[in-house]
Amino acid sequence: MHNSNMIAAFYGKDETAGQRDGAIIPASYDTVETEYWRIRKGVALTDYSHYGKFKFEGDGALEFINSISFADALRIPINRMMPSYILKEDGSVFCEAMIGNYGDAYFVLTEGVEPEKILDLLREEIEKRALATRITDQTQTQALIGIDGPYAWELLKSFMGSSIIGTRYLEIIRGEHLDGMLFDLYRAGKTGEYGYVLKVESELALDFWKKLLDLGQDFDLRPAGYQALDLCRMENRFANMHYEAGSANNILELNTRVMVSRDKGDYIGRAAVEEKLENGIERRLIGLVLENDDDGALTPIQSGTGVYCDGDKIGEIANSGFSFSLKRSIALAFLDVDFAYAGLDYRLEDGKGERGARTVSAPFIFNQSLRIRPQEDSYFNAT
Amino acid sequence: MKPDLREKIEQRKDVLSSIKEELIDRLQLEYSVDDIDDDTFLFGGGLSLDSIDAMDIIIGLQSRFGVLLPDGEIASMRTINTLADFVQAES
Repeated sequence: MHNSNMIAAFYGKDETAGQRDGAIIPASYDTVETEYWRIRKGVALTDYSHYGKFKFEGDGALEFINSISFADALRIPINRMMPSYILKEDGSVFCEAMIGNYGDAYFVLTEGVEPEKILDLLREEIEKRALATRITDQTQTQALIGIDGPYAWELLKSFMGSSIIGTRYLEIIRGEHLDGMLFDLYRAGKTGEYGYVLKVESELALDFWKKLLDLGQDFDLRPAGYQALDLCRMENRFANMHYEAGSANNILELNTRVMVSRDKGDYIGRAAVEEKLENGIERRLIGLVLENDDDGALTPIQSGTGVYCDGDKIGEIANSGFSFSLKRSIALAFLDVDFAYAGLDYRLEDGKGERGARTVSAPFIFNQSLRIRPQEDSYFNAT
Repeated sequence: MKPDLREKIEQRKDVLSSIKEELIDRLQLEYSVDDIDDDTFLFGGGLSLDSIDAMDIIIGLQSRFGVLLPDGEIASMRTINTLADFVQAES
């Protein structure tokens, strides 16, 4: 168990505490619904202390990262990030990896596995490949704090200035200060709303967190735990290692075909990916919305529930939740590729009962952030 | 698979394939139809298109399917699948 997290300690270990990738972080601070609407309508603060954080330097850094990354890190411009995965040899997912190009170094944020296990893998691979790269594990020394919501940009604007408005998705802003505390900013949220991740020295994390809460008072800023974030993430179809991504047999089942680079050289799991590119995958992830679901919030669907068509099993549920925006239960299921198309009606059966569900296009919802024009809109005149 | 379900799926596949072909041709994407999953996002991640491309998508849908995606109808312009939803609803 690692826990460099002063933020979790600040809130204490109560019934809302959860565990992610070996770290203790709050599952929720309030009701999930309250936190959900903060993310969907206002601004919320998030503790990402469970992420692994690794810095790669040296002439062989890019080549090494490409030898462990599913997506091609060569495509990342300086001061930009790229979502990727580290695979297992069988083509399933070992962990998520958000790769950042700092020009003179690469920075990789990981989720889904304890950082210690990722470090073991990195050391093993670096020894095997004998590349000139140096890895620094910053998991304990750096903290990550998320700011998500349609008005997240406005809170940041209050201390970073108007330039934050022009920050593009997956862009990195380096060397910013808040009350003398140095931080880097990544525009890399996973809720579908404006989302930013701020990287700060761990020893400053609690002061930084408190300062943000102080600055955010006028925005009704409150923290949100990982349960509300997971729900937002599913609604916007960002793959989640703790659910569907962790149960994929092959990365291509997660609709990741455009991430494949067939000429980037060898990487972990490549043979399994190439085999599926040649012969096709058997199942694919697709969204489902339940029908006649007035009491959906009370009767959640369990992962592993079977999906049936005319009595034949065609797949199973990999993630589910209650969408407060849709007022319906939603789910992600791996379906036989012949059946994995939007607009089709199937049945869910789990031994206790049967429910109807319709396959739907990604994403599940329309995000308020898409309607926001930062030059004109404000949290303070939102209706 | 029952014939009516098969027909519905075949119709969907035809629309999805046509949309992908149109986007690849019009936006000169370095992908083949098989490279693009139906739930691939158009902007941000996924195909990483931009606002200029959005105009070309509107023109492409009108040209190929005879449907007009109204200005500001961004809910339909999220993924290949949401474009297909729009085309099938309007055709």
